[in-house]
Amino acid sequence: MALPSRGEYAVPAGLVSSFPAVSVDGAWRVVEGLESSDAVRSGLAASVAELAAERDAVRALRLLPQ
Amino acid sequence: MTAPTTVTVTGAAGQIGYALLFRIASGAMLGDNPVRLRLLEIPQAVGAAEGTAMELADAAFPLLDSVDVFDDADAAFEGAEVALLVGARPRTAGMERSDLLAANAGIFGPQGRAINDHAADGIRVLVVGNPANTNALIAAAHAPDVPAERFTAMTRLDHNRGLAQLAAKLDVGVGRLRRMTVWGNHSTTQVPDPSHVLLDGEPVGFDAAWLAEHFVPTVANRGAAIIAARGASSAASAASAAIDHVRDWVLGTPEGTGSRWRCRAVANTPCPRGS
Repeated sequence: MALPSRGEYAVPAGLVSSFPAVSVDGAWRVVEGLESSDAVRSGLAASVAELAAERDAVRALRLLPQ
Repeated sequence: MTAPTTVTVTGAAGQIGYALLFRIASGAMLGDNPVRLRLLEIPQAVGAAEGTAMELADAAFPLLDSVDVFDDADAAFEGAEVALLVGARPRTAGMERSDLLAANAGIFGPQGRAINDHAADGIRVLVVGNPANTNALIAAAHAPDVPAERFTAMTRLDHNRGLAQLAAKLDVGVGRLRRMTVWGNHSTTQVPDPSHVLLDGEPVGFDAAWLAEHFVPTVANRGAAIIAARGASSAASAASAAIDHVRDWVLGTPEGTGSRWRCRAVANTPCPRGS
């Protein structure tokens, strides 16, 4: 499921990224500490770059509150 | 009787909305609790949403407390405890990516502000409309009084698509699989990752070549394959994934039902059946 990153797995804080997560007492918690293959790590880096580009495009259009 | 839970659904007259609303009203999303539906549509689709509301009434769901239709976001999100943001501006021919982002920011910014000002304190938001991750980011940015983690985006459809591929490969039922993971953006760059998957509680390995050449592209491009096959985008499976996401969020992720990491229900609420 995707939620705003708090910096888990080196995803920049604030980007809404999919992570492994559990729901405990009504709140999502990212499952931390999983080991990933090189393929997963490089794939995630590329996907996060796309998320950052989308955020930057929205910001450049002044569509985020300052 | 328990007080009804207020659920706001945007894009209610669309294909996903049509599949989603009846399952919410049946109790599939929130369990054995009454629900109050508030539907938001653009003015030209309000008539169609009213028609769906008529059908919801005709289905005589015992758990359905009320259905109201709005074309104003402030009114639609009044008192909302769960918000499913399904309506979005689709990409059309000749549309640049910046045009798509801007068109959707024009939808999700005001909706985020309306949620900030009118929703219940415990609001939980799931963004289904694409580009879902960035739409969720935009909505959250316009809702400074709502904790950011209440804004989530849907990758559960990718997750479920991955489970289906793994179950077929292993020739087992999806209910025997757990700990599927999806990383990143809900787009073709997503990273469906079965490397932590358990079959009947035991680790199961997958061939790296099969993952790279079959599994990942099949899951990542499944939306296009559905469009090619049925001439319309995924609707019922998307609605089902939204139900799964919110049910797990509210009721807790159950153990042993295919996709989840462990079970811990909220206070006084039993784990859903199958856990």
